[in-house]
Amino acid sequence: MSYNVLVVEDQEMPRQLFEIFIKGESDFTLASSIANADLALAICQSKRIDLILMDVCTAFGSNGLVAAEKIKKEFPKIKIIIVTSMPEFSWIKKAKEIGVDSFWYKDVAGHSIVEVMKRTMAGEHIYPDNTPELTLGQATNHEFSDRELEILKEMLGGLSNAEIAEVLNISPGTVKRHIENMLQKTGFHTRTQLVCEAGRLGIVVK
Amino acid sequence: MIALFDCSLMFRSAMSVMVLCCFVTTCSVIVFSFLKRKKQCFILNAISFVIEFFVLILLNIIAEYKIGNNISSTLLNFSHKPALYFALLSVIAVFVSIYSLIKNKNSYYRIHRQKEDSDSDYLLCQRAEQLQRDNIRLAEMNKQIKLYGEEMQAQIKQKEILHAKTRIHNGMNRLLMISLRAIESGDKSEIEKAVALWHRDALLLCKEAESDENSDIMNDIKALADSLHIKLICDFVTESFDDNTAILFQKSACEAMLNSVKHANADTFEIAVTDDGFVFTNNGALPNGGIRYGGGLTEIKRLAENSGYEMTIECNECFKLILKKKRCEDVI
Repeated sequence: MSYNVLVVEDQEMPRQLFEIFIKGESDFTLASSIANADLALAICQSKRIDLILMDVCTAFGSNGLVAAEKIKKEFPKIKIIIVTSMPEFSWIKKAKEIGVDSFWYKDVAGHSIVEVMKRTMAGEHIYPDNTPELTLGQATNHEFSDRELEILKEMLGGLSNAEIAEVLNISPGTVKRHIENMLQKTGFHTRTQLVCEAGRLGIVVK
Repeated sequence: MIALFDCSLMFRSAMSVMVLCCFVTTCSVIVFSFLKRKKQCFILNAISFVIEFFVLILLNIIAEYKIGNNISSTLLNFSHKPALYFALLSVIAVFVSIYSLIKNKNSYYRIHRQKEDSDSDYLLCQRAEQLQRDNIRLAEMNKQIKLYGEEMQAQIKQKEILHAKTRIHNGMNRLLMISLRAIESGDKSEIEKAVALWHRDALLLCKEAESDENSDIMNDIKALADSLHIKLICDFVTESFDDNTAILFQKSACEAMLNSVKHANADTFEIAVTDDGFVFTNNGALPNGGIRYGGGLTEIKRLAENSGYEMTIECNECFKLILKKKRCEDVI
């Protein structure tokens, strides 16, 4: 039996590589290949899809995780593998909450995507232990606590300390303390520098 | 001490004990007020003590003149009256001491308050220094931001160059794959298509043609049409839309296509790009009883209005969804 695969990827090169991998496997058939995650549900509604390779940040700002959530609600049997190169800390957790079957980092050596696809179709759930390690100033992204990363994510949205405190239900003093800790860890002098670097590396994505 | 008990022993002894008690009390008050920094109390008691002391000497001198004894050896050797006066004076001095203590009882707290005030002055001074240090640090940070901003221009330029390189790299990769497929298939038309693409990319590299940034839009629409098994007619060259227009174009095309299959059973969907907008036409059944604006159409209408377009629907011979760019006078 051959599984129908939908590729949702906005970058041309990885998309074509996925297509080549799929075409090279007898177990899989390329059903469709699109760049915008918002269209994935419509394609699932009109075509038999067994597996989706879904990027998170797709064309026109559409979010693969949001699309995956909608698809899982309507078609729980469709297997979804999130494929991303962004080391955003919250995506693995979010993917698990949604019920995404597997999670694969494009830039990290390990399982090949074909292996992940086969094992996912066999009923396995393959998730990385952690996000890829990236250097942020004098620290790595793994040295930050979840709370610090949450604050960093809100900072990326341009929120003030008071607004972040309100969103995360903590005191502004705590927010300030966490930011000072992050600045101390990274050796950056300003919060702007911290946020710019974290955003550029994809450690947090708003 | 023997002299103390000289005349009228009981009376003089009692007076002497009283004088000694008063003397000790006054001294204690002086020491206490000195230790507790009760300045006024200390001065008052010190004065009263000195007066008391001199009065004592004076009274004794008077007494000695009257009795005819040696002054130096009979400092505390009183006659009846001077001893009584001195005792009364000592008692008054004690009362004065106690009164001054009571009156100045809050001076201790005043001193503390003054101390607190001086502490807060010290803190204020420290904060002012901290503020000065922060200002210097802020000035340095601003300087760095300024430098960062200057470097940003260079970084943007670098990024643009990198994007161009990535685009060329992607284009070359795509061309190589298309060429490989064409050669493997041996299909002449495929090979010609690959050659045309090579030609186009060569022009691109020479900056004689513009890259088609929005090719993904049509690819996605074609993919959806394919999955819906509907024939897609789009005889136009995809333009380089700005982001808002691209989103509007793709969303409206996909929504119109889905509706044409779901509600009108259409098998052909046509997209036309005009000078001032887009027209989506399908060959399905015309709606009965007017158009119902569901979630999809309402969303497109909102998007269109936000992007400066006007949405109209025509149902004369076939169903047409028209998105027309508003003219300046319409907007005004």
